[in-house]
Amino acid sequence: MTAARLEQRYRRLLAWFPAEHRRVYGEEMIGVLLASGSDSQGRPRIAEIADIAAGGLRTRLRRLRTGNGNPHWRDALAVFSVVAPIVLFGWLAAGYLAEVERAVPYHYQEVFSRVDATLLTTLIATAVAIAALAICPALTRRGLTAIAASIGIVATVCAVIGLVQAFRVFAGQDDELTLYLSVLAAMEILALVASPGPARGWQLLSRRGLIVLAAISVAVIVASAVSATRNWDFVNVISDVSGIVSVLGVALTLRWPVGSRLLVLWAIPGYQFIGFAAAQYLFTRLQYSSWAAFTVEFRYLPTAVVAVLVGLAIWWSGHPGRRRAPEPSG
Amino acid sequence: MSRSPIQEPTFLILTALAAGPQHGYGIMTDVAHISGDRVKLRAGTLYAALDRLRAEGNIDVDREEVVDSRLRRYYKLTPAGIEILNDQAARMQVNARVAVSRLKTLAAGLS
Repeated sequence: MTAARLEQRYRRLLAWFPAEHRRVYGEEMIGVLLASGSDSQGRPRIAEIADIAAGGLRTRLRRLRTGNGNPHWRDALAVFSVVAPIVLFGWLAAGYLAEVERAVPYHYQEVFSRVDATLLTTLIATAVAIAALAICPALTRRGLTAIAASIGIVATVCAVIGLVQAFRVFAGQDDELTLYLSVLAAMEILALVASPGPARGWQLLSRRGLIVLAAISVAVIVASAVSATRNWDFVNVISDVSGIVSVLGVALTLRWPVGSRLLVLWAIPGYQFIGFAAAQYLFTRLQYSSWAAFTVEFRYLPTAVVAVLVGLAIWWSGHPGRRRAPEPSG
Repeated sequence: MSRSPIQEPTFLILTALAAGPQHGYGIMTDVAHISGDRVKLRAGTLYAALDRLRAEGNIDVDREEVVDSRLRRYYKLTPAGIEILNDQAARMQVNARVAVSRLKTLAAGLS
């Protein structure tokens, strides 16, 4: 009975490995795991769990890198490589506008003394982000694309850090912001290297999806700027709508193999939304008038809305099983 | 042609298979034996490495058996795997020879 239960637990652990790997080596691995354990062992040891997880992740990464990975994951990475710079730009612009609008009535002298430098860094970051987006689909060679996008991302991150230092934009969130941007940037580079490239991402998104994406980005920027008006009723409506749309977006996106994987990828840099924002949303609803709870919740909104609506946009653009996705070009 | 160094577990797996075809558990125990229990491979690391080595054409399946209703697959070195192991062993041997020689000179200078 113990052996059967142990075997079952090992089988569950093997999910760290790709399905193809499990098909070829699964039975053999179970045999080795059971042979190397003790008779009285009821569950996998910590070291075994860590080793299987590490081996599985290494195998998945290697297969992605060599082009033998699951095509849905590779497509999801391709879409991610296109969407991440858009979100970077959206996050930057939305946060900038919201904080400036909030600061202006109280610290106008300070604001205007530094506005030139801030404006300049924002413009540079915007130009770099747009340039990276424009260049990506034009380049077909993966290495060149990765280099171009990496430069764009690093420049954007530098510009954001410059904003933080020069103007205290995102004040109080420096660590989170830096971590978020670093993870996003690292994942963007991984996506560029491991996927068929942004050209494939653009192809999957389609023109309709891109128009929706652009509209969402603008809407989020406007919504963040409006938040500075401190019109609590209005802001709460936005919160509710974003919550409903988020759930709807996730539900719809899960119907598309690439979309569901995109959400998993997005959960890595977007852990702030996944982990905290949902709980904080509920908390805020209970403490409606709490300014502290509100600010904590709302600062995740741009990321949350863009990230989840991207999935909705992709679904809406007609890909989730309604028509066959085009074959990779490269 | 000079190759970049391979990691120690990979080197030890190839060395274990140089003795002849072996199954997964056999490779694990042999690697521990070769390294004097310093390197103890676990299943996750071993099968990630075997998958990679097979994909690179350095090892291949020799035969399969069913023992106690469990699949047991034997792996063997391919000519490419033999060449890699040969290159790596020669490289390590050269490095070790230089290190030993210089240590002897150093010891002579100190005494």
